[in-house]
Amino acid sequence: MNIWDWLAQTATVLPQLQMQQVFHTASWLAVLSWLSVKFIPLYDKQWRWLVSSLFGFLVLLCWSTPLSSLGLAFQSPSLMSLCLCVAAAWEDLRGPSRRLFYSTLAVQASGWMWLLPITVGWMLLMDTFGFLPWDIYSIGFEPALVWLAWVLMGLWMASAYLLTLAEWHRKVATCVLVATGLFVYTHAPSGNAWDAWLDPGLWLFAHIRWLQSVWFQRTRINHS
Amino acid sequence: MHKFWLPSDLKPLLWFFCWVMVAVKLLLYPVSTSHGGRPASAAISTIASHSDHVWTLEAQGLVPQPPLIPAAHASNLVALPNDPRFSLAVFWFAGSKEAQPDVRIAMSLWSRQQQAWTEPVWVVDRISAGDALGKGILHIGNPVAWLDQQQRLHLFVVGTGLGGWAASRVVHLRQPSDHISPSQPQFEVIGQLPLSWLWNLSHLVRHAPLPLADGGMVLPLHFELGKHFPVFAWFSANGEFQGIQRLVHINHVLQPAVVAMNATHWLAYMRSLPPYEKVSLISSTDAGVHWSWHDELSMSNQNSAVAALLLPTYGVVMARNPLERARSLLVMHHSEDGLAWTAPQTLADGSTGSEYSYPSLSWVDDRLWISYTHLRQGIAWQRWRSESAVKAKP
Repeated sequence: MNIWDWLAQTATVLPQLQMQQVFHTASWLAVLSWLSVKFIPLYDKQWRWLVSSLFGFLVLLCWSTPLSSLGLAFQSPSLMSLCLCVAAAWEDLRGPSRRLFYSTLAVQASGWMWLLPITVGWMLLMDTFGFLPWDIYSIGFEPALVWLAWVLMGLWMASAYLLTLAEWHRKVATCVLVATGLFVYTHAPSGNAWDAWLDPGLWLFAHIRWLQSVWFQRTRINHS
Repeated sequence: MHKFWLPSDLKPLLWFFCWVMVAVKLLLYPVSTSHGGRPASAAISTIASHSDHVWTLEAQGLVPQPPLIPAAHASNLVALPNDPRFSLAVFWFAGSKEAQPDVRIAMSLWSRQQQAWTEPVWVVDRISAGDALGKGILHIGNPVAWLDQQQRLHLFVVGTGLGGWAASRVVHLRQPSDHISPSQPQFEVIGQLPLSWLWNLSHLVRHAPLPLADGGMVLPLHFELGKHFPVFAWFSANGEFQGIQRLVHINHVLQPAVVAMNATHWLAYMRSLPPYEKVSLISSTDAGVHWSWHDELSMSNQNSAVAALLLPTYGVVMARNPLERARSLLVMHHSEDGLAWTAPQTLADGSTGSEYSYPSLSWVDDRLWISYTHLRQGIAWQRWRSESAVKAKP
C-alpha cells in the first residue's frame, strides 16, 4: 500500500477496525500501567513502570477478557489519556525531578489547566443527555473543530516560548499536539475529535487533580 | 544529571514540524464532509393518484424460525432488486428470550423461484462481533439492513454494554466486497457508530434507512437514557459513516421511521412515550438540516413501534399498534400526503395480551411486504397488492 492509498483510507471519518483495536489495546495498556504504578510497592518508579507495563502487556497478550470487558464498560480511553500516560512514564523514566504535573509549581499552575477538560466534559455530558439546546458532540466530526484546536495549540506554544511561561505549558501543549496529530492521521479512537481529546475517565481524573490543587493552595495559604 | 534526549533548541523546531504536519493532513483530506441537506432519492417520491386504493392480501405466513429457538422479535425487511434469485431478505433477532446472551441475528431470503422463504441462517452473534471489535457485547438485538451501491448488504445491530438496552451501542457490519452473495451471507464488523461522548451509551436502531439521491442514506436512530430523542446518521454511497445529527430539542419519542415526500421534504413518524398518546411526527423541509415538531396526528400510539414507507406510486403506508389495544392489534393506514390517513386496515388481531408488533415494510415487485413479531415466538409476513378503487370494482 502506497502513501496515497493510505491517505485515501484515512480520509473516511471512522478509523479502520484494525486501527481501533491497536489504539484500544495501547490506550488501556498505558492507562492500566499508569494506575498500577501508583500501587506497586517499589521505591524506584522506573522499575514500577517496567514491571507494570510488562505485566499488563503479558496479561493482555494471553488473555483477551480484561480488554474486552473494559471495552464493554468504558469503550476506549482517549488519545489524550494515552499521551498523558506515556508522558508520565517518560518523565518518570528520566528521573523523579522531572515528573510531569507533580512538582510544586506544576500542581499550583496545572490546577487551572484542569478546569478546561472539566468544563468541556460537563458540556459533553449535558449534551449526551440532551440538556443543551445545541448538539456539541456532532461538531467533533467537523474539520473546523480540529482546525480551531490547531490554531489554539500554535498560539499556546508560541506564548509558552515567547512569554517564557512555566514548563508545564509546553509539556501539555505537546501532549495535545501529539493526541491531535494521532487523531488526524488515524481517526482513532472513534472518528470524533472529542473522543480523541477527552474521555470520561480523564474527565473524572481532572476533577481529582483540580480538587487536589485547590486543597494544596488552601493549605499553603493557611500555613503561610 | 540526566542527559536531554534532544537539544533544547531543537525542541521548538520539532514541535513546529509536527504542528505543520497536522495541518498538512487536514488540508490533504478533510476529516469530514458536509452531510446535511443532501436530497433524498427522487425515485421514490411521485405522489400521483388521488383515487382511493384498495389493498388486497395476497399471501401471508410465518418466516421459518431456527430450530428449537423459542423467541423472535424486531424483524427488518430489505429489498434485493438486483438479485436474480432472491427478492427480499428479512433479518430478526432470535434466542431463548429478548436480551439474553444466546440471542443472535437470523436471516431468511424470499426465493423468486420457489416463492417461499429459505431456511434461516445465523449471521451475527455477540461473541464473534465482540471479538472483532475488541470490545465485549452483552446482548444483541434490532437488526437493520441496507443495500449499498456496490450491492453489499450492511447490517446495523444493537449491541448492549453494561446496563441492558439503556447501555446500547450500534454495531455496523458489512458484506465483504468479494463475497456479496445473499444466499451465503457473511458479515464483517466495520465498527461501532460513534454517537455520544459518554461511553457511546444508549443509542438504538430500529427502522430502515432513508435512501439519498447520491446513493447514500440516512440511518434513523434514537437515544433513550433519560430523554428520548431521535438521532440521524449519514452515510455515503459506499456505506461510509459521515456524521450525525442529534435532535436534542425533541423528547418523549423514539424509533423514527423516515419518509421523503420529495427530495427535501421529509417526515419522521415516531413511537410516542407518555405523556404523548398519538403517533408523533417531525418534519424537515431542507433535507434533514432542520427538524421541527409537526401537528399531532390523530392516530393513537404509545410505546409501540410505528413503521412507515413511501410507495413509488401512491403515497405513504404506515403500520402501528393502536394504544387502545396495546400490541394485540396491528393495523395499516394509507395516506397521500403523509398527514391525512385512511381508516385502519387490520393486519393482525389477537386476544388481550397477545403481541403483533414491530412492523417492517418494504416495496418489492409492485407489492407491499410486511413483517412483524408474531407472539414473540416468530416472525410473520404478509404480501399486499394495491389497486385503484375504480379498477378494483367488479
